[in-house]
Parts: sequence; C-alpha cells; structure tokens
Amino acid sequence: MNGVTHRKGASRLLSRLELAVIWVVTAAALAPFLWLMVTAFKHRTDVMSPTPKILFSPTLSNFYEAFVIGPFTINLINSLVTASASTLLCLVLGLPAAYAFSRFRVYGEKHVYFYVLTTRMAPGIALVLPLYMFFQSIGLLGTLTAVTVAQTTFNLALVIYLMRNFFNDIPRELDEAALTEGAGEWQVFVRIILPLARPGIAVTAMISFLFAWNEFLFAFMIGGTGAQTLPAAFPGLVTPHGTYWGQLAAASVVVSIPVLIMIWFIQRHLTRGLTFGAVK
Amino acid sequence: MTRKTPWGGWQWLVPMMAFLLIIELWPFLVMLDQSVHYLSYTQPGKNGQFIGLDNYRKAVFDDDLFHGVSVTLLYMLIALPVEFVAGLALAVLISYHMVLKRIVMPLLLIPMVLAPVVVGLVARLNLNPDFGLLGIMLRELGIAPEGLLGTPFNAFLTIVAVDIWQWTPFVTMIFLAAIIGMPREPYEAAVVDGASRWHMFRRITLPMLQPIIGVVLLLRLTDAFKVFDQVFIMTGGGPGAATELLTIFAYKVNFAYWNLGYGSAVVALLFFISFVMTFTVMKLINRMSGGKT
Repeated sequence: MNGVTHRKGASRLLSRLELAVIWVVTAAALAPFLWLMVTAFKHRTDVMSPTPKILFSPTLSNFYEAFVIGPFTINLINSLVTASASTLLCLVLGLPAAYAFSRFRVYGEKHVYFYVLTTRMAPGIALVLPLYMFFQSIGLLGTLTAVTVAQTTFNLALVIYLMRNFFNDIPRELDEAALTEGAGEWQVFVRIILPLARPGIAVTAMISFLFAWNEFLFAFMIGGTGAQTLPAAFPGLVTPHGTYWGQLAAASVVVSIPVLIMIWFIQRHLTRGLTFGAVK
Repeated sequence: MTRKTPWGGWQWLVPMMAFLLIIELWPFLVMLDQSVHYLSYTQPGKNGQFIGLDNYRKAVFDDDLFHGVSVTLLYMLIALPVEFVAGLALAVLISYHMVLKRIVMPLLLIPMVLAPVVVGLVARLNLNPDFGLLGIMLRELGIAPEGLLGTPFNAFLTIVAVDIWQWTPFVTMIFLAAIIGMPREPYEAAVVDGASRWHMFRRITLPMLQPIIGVVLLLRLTDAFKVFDQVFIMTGGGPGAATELLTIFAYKVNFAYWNLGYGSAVVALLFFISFVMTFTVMKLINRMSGGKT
C-alpha cells in the first residue's frame, strides 16, 4: 500500500515535513537516555554543571568508583547469575510444555494457559508478596536461588507462549513421519524438533534474559542485601542527602548494554511476543 | 492438526505444573489464608487471630486505597489516549516512509526495552532543575523552578509524561505491524478513485485497525496497571501521596508499614482486578485469531 499512497498523495513539502516529524520524535525518544549515557563519562564537576556540557573531557572514573571501589561488581555478577539461571530454568520447564501445547490435544489446556498468563499480567507486587512470605518461611530469603526462582515465575508464561508459536511453525509432517518410522515422542522432540527450533529458542532465551535482567521489584524484595542484582542496587544510591549521579549513570550504561545489543536480534519477534500473538 | 497421546499429554506438563503449584499456587493460598487473619506490628498480641473478612471490609472503606485507585485511573485516563493518538499518527507517518522503518523503529523502541529503574533515573536526571537537560530549559522558561518532581500536581503529570515517552513507541510498533500486514487492494482501488490520504486513512486504515485497537488498549491497560519500578525510583509515591499508584500503595502497606494481614487482602484484590483484565484480553485475542490462540 505504502508505495501507492506515497506516489499519489503528498507534495514534496509535505513529505519533507513528515520526515522531519519522524526524526524529531525519534530524537525526543532518544535524547534523555543519551544524556544519561553521556553523564556516565563525565567528571563530577561536569555532571553538576548548571550549563549542560556537550563537550567535556571524558573519564572512566565513575565506572572505577562504581565497579572497582564500590560494590557494583558483586551486583553485576548476581544479575548475570540469576538472569542466566532463570532463563535456563524457564526453558527446561517451558519447552516440553510448549511442545505439548503445540502438538497434542491436552485436556484442560485452556485453563492451564489462563493460569500461566495470569502470572504474566498480574502486577509485580501481587506476585512478590506471596513469594516473599514463602521464601521467608523456608529460610531462602536473600539468596540467589530465591531470586532465580522468583524471576522464573514471570518469564515462564512468555517462554511457553513464544515457544509454542515457534513449534507451530515447524511442519507436523516431520514428526509424524518420524513417528511412523518407529521413533518415540520424546525422541522426536529431542532429536528432530529441538534442533530445528534452535533459532526460536535463541530469541526466546534472549527475551527471557532481558526481562529478568531488567527486573527490579522481585530482585529488590526477594534478593535483599544478600543477592542484590544491579537494578536492585539503584535505590541505595538515591539518598535523601543526594544522588550519586556518576555511579548510577555508569551502572545504567552497564545495565543497558545487553539490552541495546539484543534489541537488534529480537525486535522482529517483539511485536508477536508482547501482544501474545494478536499481531504477527 | 493436534494428535492424541497417552494421558492427554499431561506428562509433558509435569515439570511446569510442579513449579507452578509449589512456587505460585501454594504461596498464593497461604497469602489468602493470611488475609483473613490479623497480622501487624501495631497489636502483636492479636497476631494470628482469625478475623474473617475484616481486612477486606477495611480495604473497601480505606481512603488511602481509594486514593491509590484514583491515581491509577487518572494515570491511565491521561496516558493511554495520548499514547494511542500519538502512536497511531506516528505509525501512519512511518508507513508513508517505509525506507525509514528499519532505522527508526529500533531507535524508537529503546525507551521501551530499557530497565524501568534506568527509565526512572533518566527522568530524574533530565528533569533536575539545576543540571538536567529538560529541567534547565523549563526553569529558564519559568516553569517549575523547584523541579518538576517537587510539587504534587507536577510530579503526577511527570510520571504520566514518562509513561507516554516510554510506551508510545509500543503502540506505534503494533499499529505499524498491522498496517504493513493489510491487503493492498483497497488502497489501490482508492487511488484509482482519486481518494486523498486522509480519506484512505478514515475509510480503510482505521476500520481495518479496529480489532487491534481493542487488543492494544487492553494490553496497555494491564501494563499501566502494573507500573511500579520507575515511579518508585522517581518519586516513591510522593510528594505527599500525589503519585501513589495502587501498586505503590500495596507495596507500602506490606513492606513499609509491615501490615501483612491487611496487605494480603489488598494484594488479593489487586490480583482479582488483573485476573478480570487477563480474562478480557484472552477473550479478545481468541476472537481475533479465530480461536487458535
């Protein structure tokens, strides 16, 4: 449609105006974030300068303060461990389930599905309170295990949903052929379906990792001080006496790096994933 | 087509179901049980006492909870229409300039995929009246010299503006995907008839987008209902209780005042609301994809 409408309608001027609007909106979406990124490389005096400094002599001192002198390296390791472990756990639990939803007529499928989706749609605080009391009662509050499990709760639904779609894209004739050759269901799943679904698994793992990596409330409440992830360490630097802007900006850069890298790989799948398949 | 398998395929769901039952359903039931008991630090002697639905009764008549509901509703009422109109307009504009899509869309999506704590920090930094990019501009213009997060009214508008900044691209992304997926024939016919672009938008694009508008609206509703992290970092619910969304209220009752009995009832109510929303979303999506989802 687009080529058609374009040729027909707009005068040159209008077309230029539209382009300008698109670029201005894009700039407005990006500028505040870029400002924070730039702040990470500024000296303290430049950060607080009352006239915004575009040109400044860059420094890595904020990263040094945050990650070498400060405790952020431990937070970073905690983040890496919990996000990876919970992604792995999501795949182990979710892949067989997604396959079953894709291939078999599972009795009660709709109800299970609804249950899983509810955990995705419910506000974080509604999921955190029961988990907090649960982990407190079994003495796991403030451990990496607890944070990993907690992050799995909100990612499992997404993993099952996305993977079922990827499995659906693999022709059923393949597994049915293997079945008539005498292979078992489990063999078909492990030997044929999983290798074929590898790109889908990669995308799903990335999205799941990102959600866990970015997550704040679960890590903040369940992790406490013992298993504090990088985002969970942020409020500690926003104090009543002042905000440690340099260090926070440096931490923000580190938190955002994997997000910015992965967005290129997953953006095509983001629409489908975030709308639960309503838009493909 | 789906095929039959022994035990209705349930053996494949065992790991997931075990996880859900132990980690989600069981703690949830424990919390429901707690919501009908007294548990707080104000009267430790009463702790553990069965009080029936008293906590729920208290919640219904709690002015602070009602305030949280109003803040959340007002938040949605301002943010969502703006996001819809701006997001749709942007999607249509980009659809006229498809060459740009591959460059512009990933950039536009950045605010949406950032960690919410980073989003909160971006807002705080840029709005700082002493050295923030936007804060200084506003101060020079004589608007909010004490900083936008300093007064209740401004702080509320600011958290709404941040939501708009972050989520308008989401609306754009979905509408753009939908527009791209539309059949070309109606447009080609309209061009032959000499229709204007506005006319095509009103008569072809908008009607074809209609079912998706409902889905996006509900997804945005559930997401806006969930908002917590960035507001927690930006204002913590203040000044006063100006930005105390329902989620922040629930957080405070439990983890600031440690009123866990009453807090459980509040969280159960939150759960109920999101349950109803999920149900509606599912129904809508099912209808759209012809029952395949």
